[in-house]
Amino acid sequence: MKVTARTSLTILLLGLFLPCLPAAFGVPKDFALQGVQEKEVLFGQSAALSGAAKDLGINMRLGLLAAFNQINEKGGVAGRKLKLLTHDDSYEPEQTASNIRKLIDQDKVFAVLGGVGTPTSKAAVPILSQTPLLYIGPFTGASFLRTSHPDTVINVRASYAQETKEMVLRLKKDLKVSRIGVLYQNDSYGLDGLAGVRKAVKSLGGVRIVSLGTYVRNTTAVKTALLDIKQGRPQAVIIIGSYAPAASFIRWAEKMGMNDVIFLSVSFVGVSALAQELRGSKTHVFVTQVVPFPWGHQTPLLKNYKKAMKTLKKTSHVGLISLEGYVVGRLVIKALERVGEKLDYKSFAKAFKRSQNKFNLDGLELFFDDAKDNQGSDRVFLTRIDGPKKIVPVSSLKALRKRK
Amino acid sequence: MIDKKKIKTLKNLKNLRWNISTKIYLALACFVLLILLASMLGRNSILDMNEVQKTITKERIPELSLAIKMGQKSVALMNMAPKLLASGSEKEVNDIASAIEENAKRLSEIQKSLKSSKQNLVGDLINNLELLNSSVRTTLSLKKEASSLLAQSLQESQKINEALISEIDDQNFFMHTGFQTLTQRTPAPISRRIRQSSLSHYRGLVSLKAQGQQAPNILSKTSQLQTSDLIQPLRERFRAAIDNCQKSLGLITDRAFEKKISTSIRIMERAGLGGLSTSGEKMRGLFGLQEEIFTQRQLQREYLAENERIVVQLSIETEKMIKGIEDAGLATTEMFTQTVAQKTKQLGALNLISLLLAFGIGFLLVGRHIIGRLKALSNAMLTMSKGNLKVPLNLKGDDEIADMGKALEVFRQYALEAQKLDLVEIQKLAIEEKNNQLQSTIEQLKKAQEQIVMREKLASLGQLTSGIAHELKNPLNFINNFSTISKELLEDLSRELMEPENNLSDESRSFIEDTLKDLHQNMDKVHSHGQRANDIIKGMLQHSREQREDALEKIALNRFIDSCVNLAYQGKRSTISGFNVEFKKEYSDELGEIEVNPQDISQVILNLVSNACDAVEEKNSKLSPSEKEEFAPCIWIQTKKDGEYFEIRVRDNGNGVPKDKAKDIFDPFFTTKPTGQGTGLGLSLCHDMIFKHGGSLKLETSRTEGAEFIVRLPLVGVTSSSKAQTPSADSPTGLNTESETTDNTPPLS
Repeated sequence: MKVTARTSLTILLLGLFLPCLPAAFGVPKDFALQGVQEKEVLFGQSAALSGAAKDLGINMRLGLLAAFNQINEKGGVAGRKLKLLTHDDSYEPEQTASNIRKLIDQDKVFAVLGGVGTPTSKAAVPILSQTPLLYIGPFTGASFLRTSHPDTVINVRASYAQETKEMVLRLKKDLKVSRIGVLYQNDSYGLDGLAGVRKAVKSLGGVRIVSLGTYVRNTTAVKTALLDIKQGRPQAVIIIGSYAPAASFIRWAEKMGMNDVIFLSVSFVGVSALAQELRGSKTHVFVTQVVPFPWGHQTPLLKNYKKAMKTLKKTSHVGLISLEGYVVGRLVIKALERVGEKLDYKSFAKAFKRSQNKFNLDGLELFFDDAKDNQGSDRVFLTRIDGPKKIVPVSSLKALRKRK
Repeated sequence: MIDKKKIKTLKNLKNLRWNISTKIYLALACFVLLILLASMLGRNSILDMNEVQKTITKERIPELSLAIKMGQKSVALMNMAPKLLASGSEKEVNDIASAIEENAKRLSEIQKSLKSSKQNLVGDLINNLELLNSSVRTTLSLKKEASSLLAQSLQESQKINEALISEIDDQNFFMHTGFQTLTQRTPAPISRRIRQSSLSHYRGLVSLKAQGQQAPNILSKTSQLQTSDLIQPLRERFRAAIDNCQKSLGLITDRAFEKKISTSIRIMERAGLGGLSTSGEKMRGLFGLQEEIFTQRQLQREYLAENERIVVQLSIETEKMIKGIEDAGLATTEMFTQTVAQKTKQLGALNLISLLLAFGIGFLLVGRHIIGRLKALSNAMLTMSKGNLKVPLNLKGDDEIADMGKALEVFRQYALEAQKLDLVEIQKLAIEEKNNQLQSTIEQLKKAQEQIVMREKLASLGQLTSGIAHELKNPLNFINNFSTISKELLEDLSRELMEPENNLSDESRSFIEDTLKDLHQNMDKVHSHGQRANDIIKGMLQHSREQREDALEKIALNRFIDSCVNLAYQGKRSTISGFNVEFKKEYSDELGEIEVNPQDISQVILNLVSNACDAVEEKNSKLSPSEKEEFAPCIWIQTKKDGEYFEIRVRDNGNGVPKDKAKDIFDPFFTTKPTGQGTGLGLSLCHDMIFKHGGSLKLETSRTEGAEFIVRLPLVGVTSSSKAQTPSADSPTGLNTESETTDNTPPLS
């Protein structure tokens, strides 16, 4: 068969008549303001409401709701009621990504609040950074949330690096500890904490890491790590992990005769759960905290928080995590109040960056120094686990638990 | 009503004649006819062209569009095949399948309407696409199955791995410490921890962990293969990995744990290599599925090639068809062009005829018949408007213009008659005017007569006066002469008295002396008053001298004028009690003796000075007492030489002459004085007299206060020629010299 040039030309020309498929190129969206109405502002949240970390997500949500509920009863901000829409991500980064996409495109929220976890935040932030939406108050101290995307992320709490630095400093100053062991989860969370410890050790001097142990996430297989750490004969062990393996590790360490070793954990571990798991144990366990201690001195903030939780009929959930959620909610409210009626992405983002103005939440001051500072609080303090329901704030590691 | 109208119209029709409207309507009708003809021709052409166009639109264009559509559909169908191959889900496949069906349906419809013989080509194409479709569907289901198997094996592998991590951790810890649980009080002895079975258990665990991860990795690699080449080697490796797993499993001493793991391994094996499922069904493993997928792929490639072949053939056919349609279109276009050319020619001819006809109508009817005659009409009208009514007008024809011509002719004849009537009227008017002139002349004559009478009266008065003066002169001479003689006698007497020989007592001497002195004084008075009376008489005589006597005399002008001024002043003083005025006199020495008619000059001066006196007195009398003190009545008399003329100026500071009356003051009978006080002739006579002398009398109008009169007279006496310039009959002056009215009459006492 002869295919002449003319034939090919005819085919080509006819091909031009074909209805073109809509170009599937990613056209950059001209991002219109969403989630802001005359009487309402809609916020979104993606957090674990099920699975191993559900305690964190549920409490963050309740804290936020408590704050929103409190202001909505007073008529909202600038005549707008604050509304929160939460999707469950079960602490799975893939689910977080799809939740965030849904919150942006379908639910059309104004900003995303109170995300839980490091890997989940790692999934959420790149998506949000392509929009003018903010990611406010995630429940994690990961360093990438403080270094990259400062225009998208607003942190409330101090970083893991700050927590670990406080640990190393206190160990050195209060107890003259020089040998430290580190147990860390083999993922971004654990590595971020480990990097914090390393940095603190390097900067403080006189302290060194004598042994490292790691475990696989979502397992309690920490015994090999215990052997590794024990070998270095550390005076203290810093744990970057979740409460189940941490508790297992401490219990086994106790069993192995490491009675005088000080165990310290970062806030993410969940101090209440850890204390519950460690019932019966007599080890010295300290957990650093980044929000005020809810059972301590009743500051106006704590009074308001508890009142809000009571109104919500969730007094049983009073704790560090829901308090953190409440603080995030209060910060958001303060920022909205600063903006006033003309609410848009730009004015909202700008409200956080007014360096001369501190956010005073009933005495708790949050402060963003400059354009690059996206972390409101540098506050870190220690709590000591004295029993399953007994957590005590301490200012020094010298105050060791009194053993019967 | 309508019937009536109709009847009227009919009547009008009956009266129709060959007039302009008829002609123009006829011409218009011609044009309309031509236009109709042209438009009919045009319509005819358009219809013809439309016929051709119809052929094009109804046959060629649909054919062409159908051919193009066919091409489109063919290409669309051709494109369906790769799309099918590229589709990843059942939904996509379904969508494409329905699109294929739709396109195929359309294509066969088009082919039917095109009466194409190659309908089997489309059928082939559709059949081929259906085959491809079913193959793609099969592949998709195979892939789905494969991926579920892969997921299953991965899940099992994850299970194994999780179990192994904890088990390895525990085993490792146990071997190191001897502790298995937290509740264990004392650690197991070293002999129990480290022995053959526990070591091989640990080895088995570690090996299982490695191999258990390898097996699903091989499976996932297999699922991602693009060619069938590596299926066999991978199958071997998978089999080996499973074998190794089972071998390692043999080393594990924990039976419960072994059972758990071995189940997972069996599931993995079945997922890869196939076998009987738990429910007894025979199932293909992932490798088998993958092979099947490759077979399907091969088939699809063949279908695709076939697809392309058919489409190319279709395209060729389409091209042929388009070519045929093109040829037909070209032929139609040629026909169209021919029709257009023919119609153009027809229209051109019609245009030419129209042009000729238009020219004929324009030139003959409008140009010659209407405009020519209108011009003749307008020329005739122009001629008439210039007054020439004698040219008759004769326009030919039987229309409105001819009517107008006839009407104009009638008008011309009327106008001619009217013109004649008009001449009589003009003569009548001229006669009336003449009558009026006569009337006014008569009135003037009457006035002049009155003046003459008046003058005669005055002249007789003057004669009487001169007579009386003459008679008085003799006694006055006696008085003067004898008074002079008496004075001389008195002087002699006093000289005699002084003689010493006269013995007279001193007493009588002094008495006589006193008496003589008194007498002498009395004589002086008599003499002086006599002299004065003489002067007055002389003056009177001078003034009343007759015209005939007015010969030119050489007189000392200044003195003469002065005497005239004095005479006038005395006259005033005698009539107005308390009258006083200051005279300022400026006489030029250059003048000396001048030859004038003293009679006339004195009359003029008297008149002017008298008027000046009246003026200042009039002003003075109207002033309040306080103003009177400030006002000093004054009259300036000035004489001077000015080239060939001499000038006499008389000025006062009275009320002056109003501007509007300045031009009238020299007219006879014009006066501003109350009735009975002036005749209005004074200034008029003065003017005439001066004029007679070849001079002029003027009112100086530039003054703001009072009035100034200027008399200009030639230095050389008036010649006879100047005398010949007698005033016209209208100005009845210069008949006589006469003194003025009462106010100028000099006092006689």
